[in-house]
Formats: sequence, C-alpha cells, structure tokens
Amino acid sequence: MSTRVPQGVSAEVFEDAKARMRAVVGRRWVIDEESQGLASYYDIYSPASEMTTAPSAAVAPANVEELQRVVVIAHELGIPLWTTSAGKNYAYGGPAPREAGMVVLDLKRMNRVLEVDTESAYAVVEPGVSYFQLYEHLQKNKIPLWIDCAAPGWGSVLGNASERGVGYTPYGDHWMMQCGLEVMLADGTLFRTGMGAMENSNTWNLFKYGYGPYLDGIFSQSNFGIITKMGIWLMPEPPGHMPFMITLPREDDLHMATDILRPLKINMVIPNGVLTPDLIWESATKVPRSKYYTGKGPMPDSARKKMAKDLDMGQWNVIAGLYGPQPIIDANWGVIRDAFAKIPGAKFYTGDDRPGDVSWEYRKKLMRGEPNLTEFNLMNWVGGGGHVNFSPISPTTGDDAVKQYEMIRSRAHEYGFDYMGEFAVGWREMHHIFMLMFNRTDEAETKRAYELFSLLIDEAAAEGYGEYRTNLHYMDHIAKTYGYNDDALWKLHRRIKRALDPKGILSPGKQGIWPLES
Amino acid sequence: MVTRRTFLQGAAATGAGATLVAEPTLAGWLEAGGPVVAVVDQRVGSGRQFSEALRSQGIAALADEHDPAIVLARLAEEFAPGGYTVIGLTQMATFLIAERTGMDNGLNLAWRGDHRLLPNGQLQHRLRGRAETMSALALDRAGDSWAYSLGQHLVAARLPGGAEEQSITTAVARPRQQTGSLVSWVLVPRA
Repeated sequence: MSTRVPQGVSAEVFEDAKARMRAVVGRRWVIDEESQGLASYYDIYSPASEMTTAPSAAVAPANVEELQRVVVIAHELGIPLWTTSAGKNYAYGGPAPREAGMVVLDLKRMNRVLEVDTESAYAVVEPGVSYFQLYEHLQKNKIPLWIDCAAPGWGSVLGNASERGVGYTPYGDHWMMQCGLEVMLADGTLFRTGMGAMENSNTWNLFKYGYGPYLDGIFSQSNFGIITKMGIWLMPEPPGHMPFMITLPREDDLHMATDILRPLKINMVIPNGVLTPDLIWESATKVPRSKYYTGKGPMPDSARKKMAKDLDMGQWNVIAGLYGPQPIIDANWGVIRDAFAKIPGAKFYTGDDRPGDVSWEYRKKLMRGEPNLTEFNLMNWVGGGGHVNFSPISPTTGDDAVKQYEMIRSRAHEYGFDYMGEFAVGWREMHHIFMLMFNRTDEAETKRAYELFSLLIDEAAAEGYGEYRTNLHYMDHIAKTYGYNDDALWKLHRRIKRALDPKGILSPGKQGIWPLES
Repeated sequence: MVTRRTFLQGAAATGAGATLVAEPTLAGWLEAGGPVVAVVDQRVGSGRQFSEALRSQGIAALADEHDPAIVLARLAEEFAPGGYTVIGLTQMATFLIAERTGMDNGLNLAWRGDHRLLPNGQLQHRLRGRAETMSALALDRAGDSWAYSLGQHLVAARLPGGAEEQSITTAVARPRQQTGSLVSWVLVPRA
C-alpha cells in the first residue's frame, strides 16, 4: 500500500476516507497499491521525478450517484481530489495530480455515449468516453457524422474539450463545439448550464447560452467543479473532402507562408485548423533521429538536408483540408495554390499523393476525424520517453512566427535539443507547439529540459506571448505571467474558488488556482 | 506443475521501485496455460531476430506497425483483462502505450530493457535484473545478435523484482541490425 497521504490529512482520517469510498464504489475501485494499478497514475514523461506528483490513491466511481457520494466524503474529510478521465494528457503531466499525495478522481468508468442526435448533429457524453469509443459508436450505428479528435485517439472527448484542446477538422476548436454541461460542485450540488437548466429543455445541446450569465467557460481548465456530462457538436459527413500538404524548401519560407495563411483562414477559404510542422516534427513519426545523426547536440544542417531530401519533406510543411461539394473545393484549392505558388520551390500534394508516407496518412485520418495513435511515434525520435509541450499563442503574422521560431530554436539548440515544432493557425491566432523531447533515463538531460522550459516561459512572456495550456510543473509559473493589474485575474479566480469550493478539495493548484490562502 | 494461481502469487510476491513489480517467468506462465503474445517491431533486423527466437519457443509475434493502437486494440479484443502476458521489443512509443494500456487492462510491467544507440555509435543495454539473469542473457557477448539472445533467454529468466539496474555497453561499432533505440518489455497479469 502507498504510504503517501494528502497534505494536511492524518493517516487515520485518510484510512477512514478510503474505507468510506470503498463502501460506495467497491474495493476494487479505490486503488492505493502500486502493484494494483496506482502506478498508472504516475507522470512518467515530464522533466521531473514522477514521485513529486505521485498520488496516494485513486478512486473511480461508476456513475453520477457514486461520484456525488465520493465528493461528499472528500468534502467532509478535506480530501483533495484531482480529476482525470479516459485521456492521458501526456506532455501536460498525464493523469498525475499537482502534488504528491492527492487522490486521483478517475472518471474512466463513467463512459457512456448518452445520446447521438443524427438530425441536429450532436452527442452527449460522459467524461470517460474516448475518441476511439465515440468514433466506433458512430461507425457501428452507421451514423453519418464525424467526430473531431485530438492526435492521441485514446483521449477523452470531454476531457480534451475542457482542457481547450484542438483537433483537425473544421470542428477543431473543441471548447467552441461544446454545448451544454452538467457539473458537480465540491459540496455535491449538481446543475446544468445553458438551456439544460430548464426541467424539460429540448435545446440543451443546441443553444449554448441559455438565459442569464454564461458559465460554461469557468469550468474549462479549472477546478471550480467536475463536469459530468457534455454536449458536443458533430460534423455532418461532407459531400467531398480534399486534404492537402504544401512543402516549403527553406526555413525562411515560414514568414511568407504565415502571412499567406492569415487571410485564407480569416475568410474561411481554409475551414480547418492549418498546421505548419517543421521538418523534424513531420519526419520524426517516420524515422528515428539516429538514422541521420548519432552525435550530441542539435541535428546539424547537413543531416537535416539529407533527411529532407530522402523523405521529400520541406523545412516547413503546410497541412490542411477542404470540405464540401467538389466545385467549391476546386475553387478554393485554386485560390490556395495561386497564393502559395509565390513561394519558390513550394510543392503541392493532395489526397492519394505520397503513398506510404506514414505522417501524411495519419494527418489525413485526423482531418477526417479518424482517431489513431500514430503521432506518439514522435517519441521514437530521441527514444528516451521524455516530452513536454511548450505552447505559446501568437498573432498569425510572419513576423511573429519567425520571431517565436528563432527565439525557441536558438534556446533549444543552446541547451542541446532539437527544435521540433508546429504552428497551428486557428480563427485569428496561432498555437505554437514546441515539443521538447528528451531522454528521461539521462538525469542531466532531463534537468536541462526542465530549465529550458522555465526559461522559455519567461522569455516568451517578455515578448507578450502566453501559453494556452501547460504541464503540471509549470502551472504556477505561467499563471504569474498573466499578471495584468496586480494579478487581478488570478485574484478573481481565487475568489470564485473560495465561493464554490471553500475547502479547496477539487484539483487544488490546477492552472495555478490554489484554495484559500495557501 | 505451475498453476495460474501459483504464477500470479509469484508475480505479486515482490514489490519493487518505480513500476517494476513482478518476479515470475514467462515459461511458468506458459506452463500454467496462460496465453503469451509478442509485439515486435519487425521493420528492424533486431526485431526480426527477436521474433525468430520467440517463435522457436512457440510464441507468435504481432508486427508493430506505425500506429500502435492497431495491435493493442487487437490484444484488448482478443483477451480478457488480466488474462494474458505480452512480451515486446519495440520502439519507445509502442512501449509507453503498451505499458499504459496494459495497466488499464490488469497488467503490470515486469521487465524493461533500454537498448540505446549512443552518440559514439555503440549500443548500450540498460537493464534491471538479477545477476544470473544478466549472465544468461549474455548481451555483452552477443554483439549484433543481442536481440536473438534476449528473445531466447528472456522467456526462461526470472523477471527482475527489486533487483538493481545494470548497464551493459557492447563494443559493436555501429549495429547493422538497428537504426534507432529499442525497448524490450514484459507485461504480466496483476495478481
């Protein structure tokens, strides 16, 4: 049995809590032994020891009623619960809590697809429903709707949306496509947002706003409540679809490509999120680094050039899709081709071009909502298992793209790492995802990765770039960079936390929101 | 005769650091009638050697392709949770996904070996195991055929329990059979 206990809770009280929780969910579903599955809640990817965030136990209720009873016990005894579900949330800390000793509240058993409305194109899901599961449900029942999934197909539909993750079809902004929540507060109170607050509502999952203040947003990336059900809009299967990739031969092409993309996105010529991965990101799912370079430090230009030539990849690679009737696809593709043809050496690929190209295949699947796990092959690049995502937001301009790229690449190289990154253009902004890969079995390298990440937070903030999401170990650090007017926003978060969860039992420290005066 | 119960009790008998928790042998599990499946990256020569060694002991290998979800979904469909043992030689991504999927399906990690190409081109094996197991594996003498040797001996070896990690660096200048780092692993049913 784990000897860890939640901070501030006596061993005696903790044993009492576990016994009472076992009486609710059954012995099997309160896990406090490493050999019985507790180790599956460890964060084994971050640049810090998994013991710094190892939970004392995990509890897995099967339904809302059991969850309510567990939460009431935790509330009464002051047991901190860290919520997770089907997803693994790797690169951001996995299912592990902020502090060692907290109890993981695992909602994986609450995994029912409660409803799919084929006509109005939405589903209602519980937290444990994965992308694979929802996709299979639609396939099995021959429902002509697409899901939009994150790259890791084992992720939770609800969990990813509530973390404000993104996908690859025109429905890629997952929180935007969410409609209607059921939420439980720290004292066990259950309520529904928007139209769901009506007893006999028939539009809970059709109209987001309801009547009165719109609350859904405060339950995303938050610890104010536990989302127990969520409506998610699904995309009707389009009459046509054409994925495309444009490879760009020079690093400098990033500037022009980004400026070309901005109006194409704002005017919705390209309806889905456009990705611009660099050479290494797009190659790493296909080959390990050691095939081209086994030396220390970042991969040299000569090796990069050989890899680009062998794999027929660009230094940057623009990836997106077109959807709808064929004449509309053809017209929009003409506009896009003309725009990118201004970049010397740009090469254009669509649909069945590039047979056998593993990365192109999984990108195409994602752009039509087919979940898979191929992107995990990025971890084969270095092979040591460690990875953490640095994810700043920036304007969609060539100047910003190049500035961010140069800033992060130069620091990564200084610390001995490759730059592996991609820009994801949304409605107006870009998510810049820098995947920091390191060998976690190498202590010195892991330490360097930790330090590099911290430095990047400060340097990005100094230039006005803030992260949209982060790993457990950097939540407080990043919260501090959102400090306008004497930390007014975070003070407000804490006031809300105090009002809704006065004992601070729900996911303490999530995004830097700690309870009370801690 | 090793029964399934005896095997599982053996697997539970020793706790260990990190996530290595068992001390059974695959041979024991096979003798107890438990299914053993292998997942092997057969795109590389070392993987093909490993598969060959397992096949000679009656263990069939599923090919690990570019999407690890496919092979892992097949295992989950084919067997009841906690009702099978999986042995693998794969790249890192498949190992990490297999370990996590295994934990969700009643399995624990009983063996992990990291087989890394070093910047100087040599191959390093980082293993956690008993001295006699390490000696039997003979990886330091196997050179470019290390994966065959590992496959031959891992089935009979007592899995590591709380033993110390050992590091063996082979003198192979640049392994012909391997272009990237590999991980060997065994997942066994939880008691």
